[in-house]
Amino acid sequence: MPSRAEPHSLCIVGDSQIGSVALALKEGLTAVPDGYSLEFWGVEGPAFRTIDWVDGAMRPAPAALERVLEVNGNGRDHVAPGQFDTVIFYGARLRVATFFAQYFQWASGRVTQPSRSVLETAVHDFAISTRAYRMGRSLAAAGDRVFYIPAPFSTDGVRDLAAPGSLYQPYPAAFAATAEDRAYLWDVFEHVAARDGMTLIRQPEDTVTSGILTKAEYSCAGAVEEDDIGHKSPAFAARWLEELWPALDARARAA
Amino acid sequence: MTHPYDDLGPEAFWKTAVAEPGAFGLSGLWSPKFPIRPRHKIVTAGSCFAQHIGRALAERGYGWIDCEPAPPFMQTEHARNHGYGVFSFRTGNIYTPAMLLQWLELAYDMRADTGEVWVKDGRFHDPLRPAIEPDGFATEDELWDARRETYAALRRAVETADVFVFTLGLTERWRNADTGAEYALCPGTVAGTFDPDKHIFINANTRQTQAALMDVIRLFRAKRPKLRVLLTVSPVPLTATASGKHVLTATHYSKSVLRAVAGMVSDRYGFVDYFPSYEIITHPVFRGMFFAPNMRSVVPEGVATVMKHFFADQIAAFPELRELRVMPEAAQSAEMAEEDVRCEEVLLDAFAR
Repeated sequence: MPSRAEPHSLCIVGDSQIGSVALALKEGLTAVPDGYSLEFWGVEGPAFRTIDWVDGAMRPAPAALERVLEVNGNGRDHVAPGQFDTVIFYGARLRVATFFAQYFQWASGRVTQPSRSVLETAVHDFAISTRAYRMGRSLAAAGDRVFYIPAPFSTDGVRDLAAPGSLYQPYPAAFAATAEDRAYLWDVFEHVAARDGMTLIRQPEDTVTSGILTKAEYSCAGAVEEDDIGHKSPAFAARWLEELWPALDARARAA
Repeated sequence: MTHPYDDLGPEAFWKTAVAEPGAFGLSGLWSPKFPIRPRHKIVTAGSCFAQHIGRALAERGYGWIDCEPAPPFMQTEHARNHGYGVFSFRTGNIYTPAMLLQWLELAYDMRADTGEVWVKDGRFHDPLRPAIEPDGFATEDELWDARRETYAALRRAVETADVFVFTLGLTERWRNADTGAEYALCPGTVAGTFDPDKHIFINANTRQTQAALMDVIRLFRAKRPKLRVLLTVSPVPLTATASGKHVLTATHYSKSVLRAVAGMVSDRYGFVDYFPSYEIITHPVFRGMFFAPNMRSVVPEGVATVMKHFFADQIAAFPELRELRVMPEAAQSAEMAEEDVRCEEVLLDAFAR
C-alpha cells in the first residue's frame, strides 16, 4: 500500500483544457486555497487517450511519457492511489455536451421525462465509456478524493454550430434547453458520479448560453482564427475553479 | 378433372411436401398475401417470440420502427432490461389479444385508467407491465408519466405503420373483477398482492379470443385504414398454468385456440395474414430440434429457420423483392442469444415449486 499523502495535496489531471487552468493561476485570476499544494499531470488530447489504468495507476503510453513529464514538471510518470489527497480531473474527455445535446433532442420527441432510474442508467453508461472517468472511479475506489470537472460546452460565436453538417445540426432542440433543463441533467450527472465515489462539478450556469454553449466571452485566444470551439480562456477556468474551491474545502473539513 | 385433388401441386400432399423433402427441404409453408418491403414501416408487439421477429427484421435492414426509443447512450442490454428496443413501444410482452386491445383503448382514451399501482419495497410497479422498470418506479408520478409516454408511442406506431406484426402468446389471463383491468402477469408474482376475491382467472376460448382480436383489428383500421396485420403464434410453451390442467395439455389448448383464431381472422380479411412460425418450431417434422433442453426456449437456429422461411416465401410470392433485399447472411439470427429475449413470463419460474 502506498503511504497516504499529505491531506492538502492536489493533482489536476487532464488534457489540453488544463492549460487554461495553469494560465488562470499564473495570471492571478484565481488562486489555490491556502494550505493546498498543486501539481498538474496530463497531456494534450491525442496523447491523453494513451493514458490508461495499468498496474494500479494511471500511466501514459511510452510515446506520451515525455509530454506528460513536461506538463508535470516533477518527474511523476504515473498517478497512483494515495499519492495525492485529492485528484481533480479537468476536461479529461468527459464531453457532457454530447450527452446534453442528444438527450435534449431525444426528449423533445417525448411527452414526459423518462424515469430517474432510466436517465441515471443512460448517464452512467455514457460516463463510463470515458476512460478517464473510469480511472477516476478507480482512484476513488482506492480511497482518493476525486473531483471531476467535465469538458466545457462548445464556445458560442466561433462558428455556426447549427449550420448544416455542423456539430449540433442534428440536435436543434438542444439550443432551446433552459437552465432548468440543464440543472436536471447536471443533477443526474452529479448523482451518478457520487455513486462512483466522485464529486462532479457542473459548468457554472452564468457561463452558458443558447442551451448548450459556452458564452463567447470565454473563448480562448484566437478562437475564431483557429476555429477553436473547445478551448476556453483563463477567465473561464478561473470561474469554474471558483465552484471547485469551496467544494474542496467542504470535503476537506468532512474528511 | 376427375376430382379436386387431381390438379393440386406437390405442396398439397404430405408425401411430396413433407415426407420426401424432410425438415430442411420444406418450402412454400407460407403464401403471403402482401409483400413486406424494406421501406415498409413495421411494428412488432406480442409475446416473447415477437421480439425475435422484430430483431431479425431490423438486422436485415427492414423498416422495423421503434416508436419509444431508449435515451441516447444507454447500452443495449440496459435498454432492453428497461423494456426499450424490445418491441416497437415499451409495453413489455403483450400475451393476449385482450391485453393488446386494452393497451390500444387506453392509448386512444377509449377506456379510463384504473389508477391501480402496485407497491413493492417502497417502489411502484405498473400492473400492465410490472417488470418494465426492474427496480420499480421511484414515484407514482413517474409511473403515470411513463404510461402516457407509451400511449403516445402506441398511437404513433399504429398511425404510421404499414405492417403490424402481432404474436399471440397465451389464452390464460388475469383480470380485476372490479375494474375490468387485464393484467400482464398474475398479481403477486412479480409485484402486487393476489386477492382471490378480486383477481379472476380466465382461460379464453376461441370465441373470446377472436372477439378481442377482431376488436383490435377494427381499431387498427379505424386509425390507419391502410394498415396490414401479420399474425403469428408464439411456439413457446406456457411457463405455468392456472387452469388446473397439466401444463403440457394446457399449452396445447392455449396454442390450439390461438392458432385457430389466427387462421380464422386471417382467412376473413385480405389485409390480415398469418405466418406459420409456430408450425416451423413445433411441428413433429422438426423433431423438437429447435427447442433448448428445457423444451421451452427456442434456440437461435430455430429463429434463423423461421426467418429463412419468412424471407424465402416472401420472395417466392413477390419475386421483385429479391432485388430489394438488404439481407445479410441469415446466420445473424443465430447470434441472438436466447437469454437476451425479455420474457417476463419467465419470472413465474421463480414461483415454481
